[in-house]
Amino acid sequence: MSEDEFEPNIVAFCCNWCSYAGADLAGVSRMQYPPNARIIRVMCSGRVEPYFVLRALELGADGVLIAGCHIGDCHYISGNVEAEKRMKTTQELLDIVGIGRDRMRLEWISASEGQKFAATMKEFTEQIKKLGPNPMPKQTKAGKTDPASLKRKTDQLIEDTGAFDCVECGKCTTVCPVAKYDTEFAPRTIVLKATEGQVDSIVKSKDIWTCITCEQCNSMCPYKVDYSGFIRGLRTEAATLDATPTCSQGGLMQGMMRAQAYGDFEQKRLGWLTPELKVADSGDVFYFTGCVSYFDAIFGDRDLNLSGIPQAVVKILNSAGITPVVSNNEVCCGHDLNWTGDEDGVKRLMKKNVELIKASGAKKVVFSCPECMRTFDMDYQDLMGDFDFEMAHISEFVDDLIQDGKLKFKKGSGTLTFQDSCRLGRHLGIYDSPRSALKGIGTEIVEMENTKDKATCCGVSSWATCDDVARKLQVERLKEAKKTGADCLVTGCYKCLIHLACARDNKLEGVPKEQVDIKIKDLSVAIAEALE
Amino acid sequence: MKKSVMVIGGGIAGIQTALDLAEKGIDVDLVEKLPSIGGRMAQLDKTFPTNDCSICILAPKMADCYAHPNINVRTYSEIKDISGTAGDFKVDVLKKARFVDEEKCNGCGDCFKVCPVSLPNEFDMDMRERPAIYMPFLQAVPRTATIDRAGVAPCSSKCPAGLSAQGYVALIRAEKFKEALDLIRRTVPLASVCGRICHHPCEEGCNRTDIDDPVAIAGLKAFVGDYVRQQGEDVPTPIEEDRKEKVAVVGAGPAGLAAAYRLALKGFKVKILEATSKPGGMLWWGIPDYRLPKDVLTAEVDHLLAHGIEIEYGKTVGKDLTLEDLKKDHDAVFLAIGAHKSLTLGVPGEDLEGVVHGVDFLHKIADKETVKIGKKVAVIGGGNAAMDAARTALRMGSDVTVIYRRTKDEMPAIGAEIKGAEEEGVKFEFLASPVKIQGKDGKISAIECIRMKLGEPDQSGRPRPVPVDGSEFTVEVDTVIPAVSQAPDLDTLGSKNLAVTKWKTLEADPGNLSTNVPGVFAGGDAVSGPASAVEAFAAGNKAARYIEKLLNGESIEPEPEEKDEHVITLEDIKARMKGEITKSERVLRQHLPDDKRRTSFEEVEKVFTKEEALKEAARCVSCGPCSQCEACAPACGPNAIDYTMKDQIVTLNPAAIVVATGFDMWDPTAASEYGYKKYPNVYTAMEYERMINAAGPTGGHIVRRSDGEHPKKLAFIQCVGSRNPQVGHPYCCSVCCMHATKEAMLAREHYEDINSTIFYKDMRACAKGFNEYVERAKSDYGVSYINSDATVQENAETHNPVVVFDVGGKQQSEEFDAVVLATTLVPRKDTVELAKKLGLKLTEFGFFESPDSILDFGKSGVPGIYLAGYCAGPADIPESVAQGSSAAAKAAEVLANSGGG
Repeated sequence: MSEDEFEPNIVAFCCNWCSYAGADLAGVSRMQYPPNARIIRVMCSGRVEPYFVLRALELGADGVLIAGCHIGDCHYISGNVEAEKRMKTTQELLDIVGIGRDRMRLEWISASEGQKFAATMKEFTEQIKKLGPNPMPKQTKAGKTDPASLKRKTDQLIEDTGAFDCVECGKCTTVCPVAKYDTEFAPRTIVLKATEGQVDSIVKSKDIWTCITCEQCNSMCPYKVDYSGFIRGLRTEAATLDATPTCSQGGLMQGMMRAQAYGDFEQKRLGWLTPELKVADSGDVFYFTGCVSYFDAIFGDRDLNLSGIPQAVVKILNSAGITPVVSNNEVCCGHDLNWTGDEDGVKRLMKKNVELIKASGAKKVVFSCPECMRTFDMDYQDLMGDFDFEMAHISEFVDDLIQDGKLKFKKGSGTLTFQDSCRLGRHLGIYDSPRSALKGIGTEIVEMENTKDKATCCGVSSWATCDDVARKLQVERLKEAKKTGADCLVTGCYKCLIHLACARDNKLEGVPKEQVDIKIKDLSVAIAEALE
Repeated sequence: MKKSVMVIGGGIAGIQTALDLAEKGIDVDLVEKLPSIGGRMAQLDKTFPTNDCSICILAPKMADCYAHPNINVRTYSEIKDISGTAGDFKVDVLKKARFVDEEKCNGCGDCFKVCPVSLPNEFDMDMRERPAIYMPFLQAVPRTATIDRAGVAPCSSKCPAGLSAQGYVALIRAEKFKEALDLIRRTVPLASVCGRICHHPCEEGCNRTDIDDPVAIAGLKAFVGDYVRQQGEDVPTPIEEDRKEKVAVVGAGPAGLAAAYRLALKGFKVKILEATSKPGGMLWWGIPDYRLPKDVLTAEVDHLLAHGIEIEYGKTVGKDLTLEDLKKDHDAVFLAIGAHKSLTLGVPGEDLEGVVHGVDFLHKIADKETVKIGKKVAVIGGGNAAMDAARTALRMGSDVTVIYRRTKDEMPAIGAEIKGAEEEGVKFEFLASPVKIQGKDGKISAIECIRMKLGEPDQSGRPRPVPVDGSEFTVEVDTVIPAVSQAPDLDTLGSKNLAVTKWKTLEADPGNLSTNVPGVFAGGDAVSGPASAVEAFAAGNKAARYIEKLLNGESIEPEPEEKDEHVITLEDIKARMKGEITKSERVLRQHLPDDKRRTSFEEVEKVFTKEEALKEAARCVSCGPCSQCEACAPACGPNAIDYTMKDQIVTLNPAAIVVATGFDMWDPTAASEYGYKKYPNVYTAMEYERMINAAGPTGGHIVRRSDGEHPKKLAFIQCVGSRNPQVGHPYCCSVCCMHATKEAMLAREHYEDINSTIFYKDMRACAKGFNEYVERAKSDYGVSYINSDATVQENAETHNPVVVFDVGGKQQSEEFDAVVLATTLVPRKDTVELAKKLGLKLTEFGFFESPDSILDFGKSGVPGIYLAGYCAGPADIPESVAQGSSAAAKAAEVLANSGGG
């Protein structure tokens, strides 16, 4: 072995029962195999989440091996069946991001198969050697903030967000949906503490992560304090101090976003594109898909048909005679990184996306995800200045097409109720277009009790706040939707779709199923279905 | 001329300014928009911090103003235009007509009792109703009634006879049926008849049409005519006068009957000469029983005749006696012979057996003659006569087809008639016209028609039908009933002296209905050609008026008919309403069941029952709002009511002007987090003031809207809409901390078991004894104060409002029985317009700007114009009074300097 030859770093997750014993056997039997693997013992191969693989690659591993008992032999009966499902997901995700599924391998190795263990190791090491080093660059972590600059940054934040105008009236707390269920949380006290200079305790506290950034408080505050902006700023500081919570699925979604931000891979994002949909590489209208294009890989078992959303959007645009630009080189807009403190990641994603859109020559960008649109419209433009291209949510775009008579619909039936997502509604101020677009397709809309700027958030913001409070909010919202008597709950944001469906389909204590069981559909899907 | 000062606004600031100036010997014109001075202070219950009764301390000042020799209190007046400079302003003041003479009215309130219209009472924050003739509150100065009359309702304005349709609908709604019938009879003598057969242009104009359906005005007229008669209350009016002059009326149709009735009421000796054996004209001979039962017509005609009218049947002028004979024996003659001669189609075969012209057919049916018609009938025409003939023929067992040369949309018949015909099974052949009636052995066998198409509009405004070449077709029929218009029978009438128009009708001056023969008047269908009954009534009324003038020796020069009153539009109504007009479907008149309709002449459309009529009359949105029912004038002892009053412009010449126009309350409905209008037990502060006021809508009791109980736990929420850049009012309203404290104290004074909590952002109790007041509220009245803003939700079962607030960084909620919102006070809606007229600047919040608000408050920036009170920025009562005196002093300076004071 020469020094120039590449020696891969391989991480091997071995289950405690079969595969670890198998590895042991190989060792005890003095079987030779390359020393590149670091073995991490887990109780069951089913413990290995997709994020473990991604994280290992993020931290510098060149390949990841997962070894477990043979199917039928799992010490926990079906743990390895779970592993098989999860690793399939992981493979898809690695392909999508462009790292490639060849950098991971799932193998069943029994306790007596020391030989198999050694052989697998040899083969896998060769495979990785051929692939070469992990192209994922080492992430730059923002430097730890010292107390003085933390105080300075917080003061600036207080000024920028108008937190100083707070008169301690407590209106924010009275309308906060989280404060309703979590008596320890009050938006007012966080602002109070910050303005009193107690920065250190806030930045490290869990309070700034309890906020779901739904902006109910922003919209009600008599003095227009930008509370959500304030929270976001504090979270950025918290991230530098490693005081961040674990997000959903172990942090998988954030991991995926970081891979897109820091990596420069050959992505495979267009798996959702079916042959009859017409798209182009350049043109006037750019359809920014966002993560929804690959979310079926993660949430496929929930039967939500998330790929149906981008399919629906292209179908609508085609039907109006528009061939949108859809690019394989899109990267995540960075919304979820933005709201969990990774400002650097957002900036990288932003640059890639904006350059891509400029290169396509597009004059207008259409979004089906309000979080993408909010990030482009507000956060990107804050950092980069105003863009030359216009931006519109699909509901606004469809509404205009309907007014111009460019879309023809079948006669609609049934009643709908509409969930104003916090990003589409309170953040972007878009309330009327979705309703007008839905009316345009001939359906009757019934409003929930809390509607438009008073609509309640689905409770999970950027994957960071999935907890019992979120669950209560989701159940409340589903009950409200059911009470309207509508046939279907239409969401304008697929996060609302995922989270509300999760509440509906899971075991809920003390809540009769019929109070929350309502069909949930995305706005674009509803509109596309109604096309002639 | 002695110089004066004008004070715009009669609230406490304006009143103080006026009194101060007057005491200096200066003449003051106090101009106030509302019918009374007093402003907002009159609406309050008590004033802080002394808890003095507000009106008790205000009314003496109001009375002083009115009584002061130097103050001219001009209420119900607005600023129209202003020009000039300090020392010499010229102001045009619009003095709105209140239709009540301020000198004569003593405020007794007899008129309020008889007004049938109910409107939201603005003074009581719409928590109570007031009539259209009203006084805003008991202590009003001047103590004068005012009629709230913004214009005329479209229904009344569209009636060809000028009947106040809104008037009788309002009276019916108030269950004043006899009064409604009396009002109708003043214009339309046959109510039951007219309500059944009129083409109701009133309903076409009804402002409800764009919301849901027009009010069934005609149906209500029929109801009230029937009802009063059925109750036995339809007694003839006693006739007071006794005149010796004799008037002959030729024709007992609607025109003749109307003229005869009017003249008989005035005491003249009236004789009607009717050629047929029955009265009513077309009403009897042209309209079948299923539309107008003969007993109804007879009963109403008998009522008219019972006023001393003589009638001779079977007397035809031109046959049994001549017009000249009539003229010799009478002092005036009214020719109302109608138009009963059928026009012919002018096609070959019209003389065959089986052709019977429309009006002849209907005449024979009405005369109970047996008329033989075949089984297959073709009716030609699209008017009411055609519909009547068709539906009659159908009832006689025939198969009927109506042939009309245009389409259904152009048919002149009343919509309900066409619908009735369709429902009963009459067939229609549109865009067709007969060219020949084919016969065999002298009898009809078929009718040949040609297809028409619609061309350019003709003089009736409808598209001219144009025959399509080569499109002839034949329909087998055994009877043809042409109903293509009628003309008056001038040949029989004879008189060669009478002028005749080119359409072969009598010529009469449209202004006074006189013919070219002196003493002979003519009107109705005989003059206009076939028209409607209501137009005939109008003609009869007009003829009677001018005949009376002739016989009184007055000039019969036609008087100009004033139609210049503004007609109320839906926009007008929406602008003055605060909520939406709730949709409600028209009450439909019950119909005879379909099977009975085809086989009998029983009345098809039943008249409303009393319950149905009241329900339908309640749909009227009171356009006027005054309904012009004229019930108030007769009830007024001092005869102070004058319906002919007009708005006037009074030009004044003040040397200086003080603006003291006050404020409006903000409407928190849009801020749904407070639940106002969503939850019944949430009130605004001014609503609470009216409730707790002993003279208010609840007699001083605090009652929950949901169940009428008095609340035991009361919550007050402060700064609703104020100190809030989010909704656009960043300023502090300056009074709500104190008025909430006052209101909480008063609650305990009213009920020992009530506990109040005030949710505040800050407690602004500065000087003037306010802080001691707050402490007293805490210690002596048990008022709790919680330092938190709040939002409101509701316990849906009990309608108890739930207040959500934040104490100690914890969201908390507490259930109360009622919530009072201290809504902010905002500049009046018309401030922008007034500022433009006066040349004044407004602050960013919309108040009048005082350029040096620190050292020279009250100067407006325009020399000679000064400001006082809330219109210049938030101020409480003591501050407003002080500003009033300050403005008075400044205005007096102008006079001193210009040598006028």
